[in-house]
Order: sequence, then C-alpha cells, then structure tokens
Amino acid sequence: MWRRLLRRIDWILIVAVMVIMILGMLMIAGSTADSWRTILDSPFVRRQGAYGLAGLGLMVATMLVDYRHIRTFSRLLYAASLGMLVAVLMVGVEAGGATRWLPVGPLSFQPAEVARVLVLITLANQVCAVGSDSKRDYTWMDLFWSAVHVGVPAGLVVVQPDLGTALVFAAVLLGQLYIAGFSPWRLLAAAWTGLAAVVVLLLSHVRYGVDIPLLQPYMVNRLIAFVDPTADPTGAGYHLQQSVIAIGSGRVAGNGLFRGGGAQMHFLPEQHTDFIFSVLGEQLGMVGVSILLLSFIVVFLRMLSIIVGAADQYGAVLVGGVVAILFFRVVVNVGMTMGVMPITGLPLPFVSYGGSALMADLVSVGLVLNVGMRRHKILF
Amino acid sequence: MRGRVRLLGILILLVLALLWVRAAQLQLVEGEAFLAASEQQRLRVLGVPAPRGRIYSGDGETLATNRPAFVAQYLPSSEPLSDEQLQLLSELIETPAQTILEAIEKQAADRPYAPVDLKIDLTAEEYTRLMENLYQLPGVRVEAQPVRHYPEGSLAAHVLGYVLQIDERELDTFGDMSDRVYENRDVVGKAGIERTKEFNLQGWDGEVRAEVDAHMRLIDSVTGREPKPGDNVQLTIDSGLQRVAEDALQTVTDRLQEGHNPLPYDPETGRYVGLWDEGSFYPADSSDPSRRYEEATAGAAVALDVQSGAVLAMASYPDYDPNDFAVAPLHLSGTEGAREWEKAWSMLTDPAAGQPLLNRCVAQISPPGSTFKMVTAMAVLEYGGLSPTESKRCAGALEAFGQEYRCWTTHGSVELHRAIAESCNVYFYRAALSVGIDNLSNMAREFGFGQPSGIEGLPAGTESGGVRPDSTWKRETLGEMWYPGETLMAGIGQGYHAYTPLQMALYTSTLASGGERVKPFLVQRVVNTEGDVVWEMEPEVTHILSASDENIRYVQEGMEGAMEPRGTGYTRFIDYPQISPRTGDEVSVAGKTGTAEVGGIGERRDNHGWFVAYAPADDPEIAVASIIYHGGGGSMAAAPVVRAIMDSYFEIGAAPLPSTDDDITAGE
Repeated sequence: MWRRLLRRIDWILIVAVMVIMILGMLMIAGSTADSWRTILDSPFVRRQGAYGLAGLGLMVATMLVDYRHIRTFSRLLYAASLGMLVAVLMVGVEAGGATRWLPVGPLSFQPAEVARVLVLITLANQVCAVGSDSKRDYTWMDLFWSAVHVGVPAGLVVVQPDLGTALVFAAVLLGQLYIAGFSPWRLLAAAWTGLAAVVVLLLSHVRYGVDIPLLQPYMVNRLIAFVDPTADPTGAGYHLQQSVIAIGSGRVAGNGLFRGGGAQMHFLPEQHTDFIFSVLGEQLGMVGVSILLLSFIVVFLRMLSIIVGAADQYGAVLVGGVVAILFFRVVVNVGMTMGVMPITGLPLPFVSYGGSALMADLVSVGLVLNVGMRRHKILF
Repeated sequence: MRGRVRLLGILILLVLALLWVRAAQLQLVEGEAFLAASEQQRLRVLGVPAPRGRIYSGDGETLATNRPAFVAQYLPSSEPLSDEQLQLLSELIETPAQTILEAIEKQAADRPYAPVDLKIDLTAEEYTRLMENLYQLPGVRVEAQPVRHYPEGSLAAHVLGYVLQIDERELDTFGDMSDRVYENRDVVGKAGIERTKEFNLQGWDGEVRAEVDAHMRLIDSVTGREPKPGDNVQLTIDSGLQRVAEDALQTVTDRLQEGHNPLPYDPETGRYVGLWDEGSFYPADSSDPSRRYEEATAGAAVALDVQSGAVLAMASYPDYDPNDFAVAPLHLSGTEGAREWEKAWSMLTDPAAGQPLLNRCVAQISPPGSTFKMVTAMAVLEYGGLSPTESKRCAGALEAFGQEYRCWTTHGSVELHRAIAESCNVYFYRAALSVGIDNLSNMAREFGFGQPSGIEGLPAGTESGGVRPDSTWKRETLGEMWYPGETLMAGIGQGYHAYTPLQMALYTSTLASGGERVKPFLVQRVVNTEGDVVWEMEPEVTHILSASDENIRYVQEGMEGAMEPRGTGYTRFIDYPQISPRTGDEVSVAGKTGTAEVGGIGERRDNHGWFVAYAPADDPEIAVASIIYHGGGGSMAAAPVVRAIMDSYFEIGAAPLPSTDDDITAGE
C-alpha cells in the first residue's frame, strides 16, 4: 500500500516547487546581502532556509494522512481558524500598523496564512456535502452559504487590516465552486458584482469623499495609485515606479545577482517580501522571469492533472482551492510589480521572504500531493 | 469535469503568458530606457543614524557624547577621476594616489554601489581644504558620520567602556534582548556602561527619502521619520574625585618606578617622615626614598558612598582613551584602515602591554594581606569568644608546626586594638588558629568575599568573586587537605585569599556602616530625551552582618588606632583630623594598611601595597580601597592614593608630594 502510494507521488510537481523555492532563496540573498561572501550574514537568508526545511517537513507530514480522513475534522479545523483570527485581534503583535502576528512561545506566526489552508479544507467539505447528498444542481443559496463560510474568516482578516489575504479567501471560494460544478456564468456574475461594488465605492470615495467601510486610508491610496502611479512619486505610486524601473533595467540577462540599484541601493520598498519579483527582474532579467513563470506553469498543469485524476469530488475541489490560492497570488503579486495589478501587499508564493506563508503553501502542496497519491486512475 | 479543468488550464496559461509579455515589454523593449532611469535615480532612501545617548557623571559633567567625523568618499557610479583630479585629491587629503586608486578598485568588485571611503575622520584642515576644492572633483563628497566622543579622554574609561561595530554573536542576540532591530554595521557598546545600558543608549534611526544630485549631495529631503536619540545615563561617579584618584594612581606608580618614592610629609615640621608599616619588614626598606619599584606599573582605587553603595570613584591604571578607537567602526572590514586598527587593538589587549583595557577594580584579584585582619578579628570576637582586652605576646615570630611564622616587628604584649592599629601578625596567627579556617571563611563570606558584589552598571561576567579558601574549597579545587599552617597565613590575608579592590572597598564600607552590606552601583538614573526618568537606582542592603554592634565597634576602634601615633597609617594622615571646609565638621579617618606578599617560592617580587579606609570615623560617609600592584608597603604606595581621595572628598588642602630627589633629601 505504502509502496504504491510512494510510486504515485508527483515528483515533477515537487521539483518545480523546489526550483521556485531556490529562485526565491537567491532573490532574498540578492536583496538582503551584497555579495556571495556575505550571504549567510543575512538573517533573512538563514531564516528562510530554516522555514523552507520546516515547510518541506510539514509537506511530507501532510501527505501521510489520507485527505479523506483530514476532511472528517472540518468542524474542528474551522473553529480553530476562527479562534486564531479572533485571538490575533485581541493579543496579536502589532507591526507596521497592522496586527498580524500571534506569538507562540518564542516564535510567532500569521494566523491568516494558516487559516487560508484550513478554510481550504473546510470549504471543500461544505461544497461537496451539497453535491453528494443528491444529484441536485447547485443553487444561489449554496453560493450564499459558501460565501458566508469564507466571509467570516475573511472579514476577520480585513480588520487586521490585511486586504490582500482577505481577497485570497474570495479566490478559494471561486476556485472550489468552479471545480465542484457550480455554473461558471453565475460565478462570473457574482464576481463581477463584487468587483463593481468595489469600483463604485472607490469612485464615490474619490469623487464625493464617501467613506469606505473597513478599508484603511492607505489601502484606498494604493488602489488609486494603481490608476495613476505618477500622481504622487513619493507615496504609493513611488513603490510602483521604482519597481517598474528595477524590472525594466534588468533587460535580457539581468544586472547579475547582488547588482542593480533597486535592491542594493534600497529604492525598492519591501524588496525581500512583496516586491521580490522586482529584484528577480532587476538582477536575473528576462531569463530569471521566464524560469519562474515556466516553473509556475508546470506547477499549475500538474495540479490540474491531479484534479482530473482525483478519486472523488472532494479531492478535486480541495486541489482546485490550492490552484486558486496560488494562481491568484502569483497573478496579483507579479502583476502588481509590473503595474498591471493594484498594490495589495500579497507575497509571491514560495519566493517572498516569510515563514508563515511559505510553510502554509508547502502544506497546501502536501494536500495536493496527498490527493494525487490516492487517485484511482492512472494519469496519462 | 475535464472540460472545466481544460478551460481553467487555458485561462492560467493565458494570464501567465500575458504577464510574460508585460515583462518582455519592460525588459526587452523599454529595457535600455529603464536602465538609464535606474542609473539616474535622484530619489533615495537614506538612513539617518540616531545619536547615541549621553553619559553624565554624578556631578553633571559630560563623560560620553557624540561628534561628527568627516569622511571623504568617492561614488563609483560617477565619472572616473582624471590624473590631475587624482593628484589634487591626493594632496588635499594627504593620501597617496595609489592608495586611493586601490581602494576604489577593490571595492568596485565587492560592493559596486556603495560609496568608497577614501579617508576617515579628516582633520579640520583637510576638511576645509577639501570642501574648498570639491567643485573640481566630481564624484567626491564629504560625509559627516556620528562618532562616539569622550570629552574627558581617559577619565573613568573603565567605567564607561567603549563602542565598536556589532559582531556576529551580538547581531544574533541583541534583537531578542531589546525591542530594536540591529543591523550589520551598527555601533554598539562593548564594555562598561556602554554595554550595560546599550539598549537605553542606542537610539532609533530615522529615515529621509531624499532628492540628491549626481554627487549624491542632498538637495531636498522629501519625507521622513525623525531619528530618536537614545536615553541619557547619569552615573554615580563624581568627576572630581575620579580625576583625583586616577591622577594619584599615575603619579604614585610613576614615582615608585623612578625611585622618587612618595614619602609622607609633616606640615608641622616641614619634613618628609619615614614610614613604619609591614613594608619595612622586608630587606628593601620602604623608607629608602630612592629604592626603585620597577614593577609598580599598575594600581586601582574604589570609593563608595557608605550609606547607599553609590560608586563615587572607580579608577584602574593603566587606562586607555576610548576616543582612540571611536572611529574604528567607520572602517570597512578588509580595508587598510581596518587592518591598522586591528593591530592597535591587539596591542591594547596584549598582557605584555599592561592590559590597559582591564578594569582591575572588579576583574583582578590579589591577596589582601593585612587589610584582611579585621575579618580575622571579627571571627575571633564572634566565634572564638576572645575578649578584646585579652593580650597575646608577640616576640617577632611564632613557632608553630615546626615552622617559624614571622611578624614584621616585635610588638611585645598586644591586645586587639593595638593588633589592628600596629598590624601585629603574631596576634592574628594565634587568633586564626583558635577559630579555625572554616569560621574564618564564614566571617569573610559575611563581608561579601568569595562572591561578586553584583555591582549595578557593569556587564555580567566582568566581575570576579575572588577566592575565599576553606577546607572544603581546598579539597574540591586542589584535591588536597587543609594544613593548619595555612590557617595562620589565611589569618593575615595571605595564602590563597584573593579579592578585587571593589570587594575590599565594600568590606570597608560594611565595617564603616556597622554591618550593612549594600549593593554597589554605578548608574544613578536613566533619563529619556523628553526628560522622563525611565530607570532609577534604588539603593539596596544585600546583607546585614550577623555580628554584635559591640564587636564591630571594637574593630572600628582598631582602625581608628591605625591612624594615631604608632599606628601603621599614622604618618600618611599625620595632619588629620582636619576640619572639612565643605561640611564644617572635624574629619578623622579610620583605616588599615596591607602589604601582600606575592610570587611563589624562590621568586622575589615586590609586594602589593594596600590601603583601606573610611571617614569621617565617627559618622562614615565614604569608604575607599586602593592597591598599587608590586608597589611595596601599603602606607607608602597605596595610602597616598586614599589620602588624595579623602582630601578631595572633604575639600581639605592636600599635603604636597615631594617632586624631586632634592625635596626628599632636604626632608631626611
């Protein structure tokens, strides 16, 4: 049994993820150290290495338990994620104007990152419960209750405030409902309605000074800066301008690791976290960008083939959620650094510095591999 | 299902392809333009270092502050220097052209964007010359960097400590120990107060997003965060008393080495008088004014406030000037400047150079000699049931265990008072024998011997607890049994005993206060830039001597006797008691000399001279301990230092030391 499971591990997916992680480590080095000699002087490189190893361990651990068994703990996991998110608001550590960190002994973690993995499991459970009790089709009410299921934790994340991560929950909702068989036209309609609401709010804020509930002023500024980056060269638009300059200056082969003014002269903000793609573009050029995007394509295609071969609907929906989470964040983050998406403060999966996100993403990959190992059909 | 997944796959491929196209547009189509934009950046984020908090003495004198050091820098991104420009620059900053070129080339490989330091800490002259000619030198600029400055030079250097660039280990631990983020090139306290109060003194760096010209000169700062200076620290050290103590240590050691020995002066007769203490026991008579004490290169003195434990002076000699390496952190590792600095540093830490960095007051332990006799006295009064009036015979030596234990003179019949005042060895041999080593050790523990005092203000681990021997200690440490003969030596502060000058001062203070052992402290309070007190020392009694007031009083009287005619400290304080102009009261001193034999068998080295004292004898305020290592007898070598401190504390006009041989011969 174990041997068969082992044989069915999707090694290509694992290798692609590892390539992206190694690229990430290089870029963290490129933005926080100034030469090969001083790489290990950078605490970010040392810590990210440790997080990566811990994350791979967690990924393997996640693969060991059958995902159908994990599913049975859905209520508990949902309660745990809400508990964490409430706890961080009450006893969390404030940093940079937001309360995102929950201390546990000498360490601390971001509950929002953990919650998005847990909600992945619990929402899939709810979505599939509807589909399996009879062969009935999904209704608007199912969409409503699913939206409530992710809306509660997402709301708790918005008030931290962390708009970007809250939007990730919406992506999970769309992705899982789509894979479960919900009408794509209805999903599209719902998504458009949500987006339209945001645009109307923004416009009424800019034109008529209407207050936007929940959103902090800096978030609104970032959204406006997306529309006109040169409006305020030292404020939110400044980040975008610097990022575009850095990426552009990389040209085909890049300026070389540790070279380039953006990262090394600290023009780039948050260069080892949210804007790490800019450092990649600046230091490794088109070559680096292509390797990264191709690796992500491999990751997504492997995950999609696991969805197709999944033993049950629950497995497929679970993986669908992971694809949605990763895809949404890749597009928003990479798009943001090149000025085609608003600045939302979402890190790039497997690449940006940050232990909670890296470990959460590796656990998600573990879930995907878990579903893939326990498939019925032989793929391709 | 397959259809849906295929649709999703196409969507994913399409979106990622669009992102790739956008990247290609930025990097391939507009790449050159963005490269140019990147190189012509005018906006940049500059860190603004926060000034380190200042350190003040108890009387408000500034002991540590900050000054700007001007650094000539070259920006590698600018036009290369022409030969004429290089020549001009070389003359202006008095640095060979070759050195300048090497510095630029070397750094271009390692850190292509960072400015190259050409010369660190320009003199005022170099600075003016360079600024006048800067317009001819594109790419060269002058930066002001904050550097730690100690306006009083070496004053209280061992208390203040020094600052250097943060090291690997500190980088790992400091962040967790405080609420600050430490970075690679931060300057941090390494010793003394600079280290203990690092997390107060270190400020919060600011930031400006600045517009600069092609020479990286600031045109306009756009937005920013103000740097927040570190908290200021006020010490208990009295700058006047500290200066007197340091000067006295230097003068006395110089004179001992030269053979211009500091003999006491009697203002009534106008003569320098001979000395009469344990020092004169040894073949080289310490009353010989031209005897050279060549090893007398080091000394230490500690003055404590008897009531609170505040350290009023803490002097260790030889000392160092912390300004000498204040600019060291500005040198990048691997540069010529850094190598020169490392060489200078290794000299400072070389034992052969006299270890000027060592704070002997807390880190060097030495046998206390006769200054320890008050412990033996307390032990025999408390545990031996000896009456203070009971007398013992001193025939100049005591025969015991087949050996002869000598006294420095023949005292005849002595009781406790005379035994202390005239420092009779035989009396204390007998006393020690009667109570035994373990009782003796127990009484020593009461005074804080054998454990660090826990002084507030010095980094953990810098203070030694000394060696307080007893039978258990010897069995555990040396694996041998205790011999009765060793008890005799322990009774006069010889043998294994070894303590720090701070412990000796604390012991003297405990006797002076009638048995209250306090916690010594160097830091009075920490005040932030808003003027709020963020930390204040609360004096603490750490132990109350379990001994009767009566017995303590007997011992105090013995110490007073040492300052009266025939007492071993008399000649040094011959003109006391005196009226203190400051308090208006009569000040008499109580004290004790010590002359500690050092070196092993067959090794003849000069003795350590000790002196401990407190004053006023009837209502003690200050307790002082001083040692001159290898300086001979205590009343000759160490007592002048204590005398200088007492004179200064009570503002009593000091008796001058003879300055030449002529003075001395005229006095004899």
